[in-house]
Amino acid sequence: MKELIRGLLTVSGGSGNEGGVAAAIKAQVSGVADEVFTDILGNLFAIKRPKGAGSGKTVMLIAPMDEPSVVITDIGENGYLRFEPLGRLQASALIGARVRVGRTGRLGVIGVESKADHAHLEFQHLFIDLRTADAASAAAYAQVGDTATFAYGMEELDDHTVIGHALGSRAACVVQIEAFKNANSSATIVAVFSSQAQVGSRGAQVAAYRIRPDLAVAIDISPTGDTPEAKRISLTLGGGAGIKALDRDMVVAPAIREQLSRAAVKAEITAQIEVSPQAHSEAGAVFLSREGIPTGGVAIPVRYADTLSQMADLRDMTACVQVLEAFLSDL
Amino acid sequence: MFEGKEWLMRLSAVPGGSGDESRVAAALMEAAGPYVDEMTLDAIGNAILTRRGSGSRRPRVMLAAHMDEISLLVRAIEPRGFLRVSQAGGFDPRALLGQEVLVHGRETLRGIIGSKPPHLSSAEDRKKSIPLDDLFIDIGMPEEQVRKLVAVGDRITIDKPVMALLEERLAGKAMDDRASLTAMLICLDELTRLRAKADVFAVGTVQEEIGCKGAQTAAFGLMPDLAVAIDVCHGETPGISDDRVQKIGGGPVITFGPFIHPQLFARLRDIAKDNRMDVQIEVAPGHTSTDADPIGTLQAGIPTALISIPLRYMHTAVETLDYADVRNAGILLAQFIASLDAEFVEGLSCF
Repeated sequence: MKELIRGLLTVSGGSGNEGGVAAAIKAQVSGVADEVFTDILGNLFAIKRPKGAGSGKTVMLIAPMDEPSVVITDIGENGYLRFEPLGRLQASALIGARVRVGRTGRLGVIGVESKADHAHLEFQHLFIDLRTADAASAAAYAQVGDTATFAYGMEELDDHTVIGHALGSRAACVVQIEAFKNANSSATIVAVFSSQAQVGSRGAQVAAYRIRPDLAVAIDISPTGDTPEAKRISLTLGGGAGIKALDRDMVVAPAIREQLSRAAVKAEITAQIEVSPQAHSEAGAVFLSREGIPTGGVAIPVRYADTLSQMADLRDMTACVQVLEAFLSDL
Repeated sequence: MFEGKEWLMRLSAVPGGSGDESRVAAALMEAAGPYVDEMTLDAIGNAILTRRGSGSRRPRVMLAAHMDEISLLVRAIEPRGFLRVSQAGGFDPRALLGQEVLVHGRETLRGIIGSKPPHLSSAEDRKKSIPLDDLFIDIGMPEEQVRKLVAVGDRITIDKPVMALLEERLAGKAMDDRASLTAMLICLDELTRLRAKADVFAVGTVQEEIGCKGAQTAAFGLMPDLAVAIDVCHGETPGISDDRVQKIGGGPVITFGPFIHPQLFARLRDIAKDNRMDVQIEVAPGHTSTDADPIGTLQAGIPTALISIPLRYMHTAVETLDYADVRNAGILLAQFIASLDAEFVEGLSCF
């Protein structure tokens, strides 16, 4: 699992530019899937059909492929790049951040204008330095419209704690890959690795419409409340798999929450309930598709979710995989 | 004869937070049984009550009134067993202090929303309202027992029976929007005595308070020729200027504005006039913040209207209204539906 996370964190996948991530995931799931395809928004679908007759039901799992990124809006005469955020980023958190231009792989550093007021910092006060002499030489590495993502990768803190810049997306993808590989179900399983989650769950909307599942589970990360002066959130790092009750976009029906909780009991793993009024997930968008799709969620607890050093516990991620496996085997 | 007032009092007391509307759906279906041909719960919990019209070219009419009420969820269980909460729907935390609640855990438990007594608060503190994050619920049990019976994510609803005030005034916790469910039931009962051509799909919708979700998906599934949402609006209240509110007891409110189909608005207004019924007109310059909003732009668009029942103290435990407005909203709806035919529906596409 650790190596899979490390591998996926080396690929750049800003919103609308998830092709590299999709290719890496496709290599992982192709061997076990009956069918793999992509759609016009860049979603990757992997389908596993039941052995034998099956129940005739379809369950959809969904995890976001895109990570917070910036899009280049201007290349100055001096070769410095200006940019705007794609997704939920704070300008103040990006000073000194290392970025990589997705298309060319060029590294750069985010600098700030010296006159900028740090209390009211906006993206217009920041720039990317690719260490090029002028606009013409910068153009070899970046064009207006390119996305750049953060260039940190994965570090290990101890044998079960990892830090990474895009765990929000890739930890969820890894959980979904593992669950999909191991799953045995009488239902048809469609694993959606979605595009454009950061910019309004756009991939999720069209994926749910296309698949029209009987039931869906969104896999995402959720911030914990176990750090000094944190918000009152009961999720803790290392506290087990999170089962969604409420987030900013979704309130889960008690019956679905119960179904996932029962799966946790069956799998003999520790679970915790997620009530995160500030956190986003794709569950809300999936739920609203067509005539309405019963939807639940599994959340990986993550510390520092809004920063470039997100911290996750591999034991929680394994627990999430086991909950999903037990859930799928009982359908 | 449908006992509307008794049903409203009963429906208002049923707990049903957003995403957890099954108890309300069961009560609604029990009440509607005699007046409809078919009742179904859809995949996400909308209650769809179907009453067939007569004739060969039957307009398809959707009614939408939401079943959910604003509610709280357990966010964390603290040492000594106090519960911290999040909300699903917009409470004013100032109105929550000292309320009695039901915690829907492994068992349904009674609790109270506590606060610091004035004696132990600083003068500065007493001037401030307490944010939702700082409120707590006391269910009077030791922590160990609380943890056995209550889990993070469990729902909490206000525990308050309906209080009958003078004449037809009623005060209760979930008049928003059980009053509209009752108007919908009154309409279905009225239709048994009218000859309506239209097929009526009366929908008790889920999750209105957190984004009008059930109405959107139900309308997608039904694709009616036209829809009428029924909800509550703000009634006259001391301290609020009269131009922002409607008269309580002044009759049902018909909304006009860009989100409302003009021919449906005109038909509702004319029907009220023909029946010598007092109605009030409200203008919504943009969104109406009701189930009408998502329905209007679904698929190729659905002509939509909105009828509201004036109510004061919205989103508190004492939402107060006049039952006469509820009854008249139901009668207006029924007369409106009875007036519909295929020609009228065809004309709706000519804006």
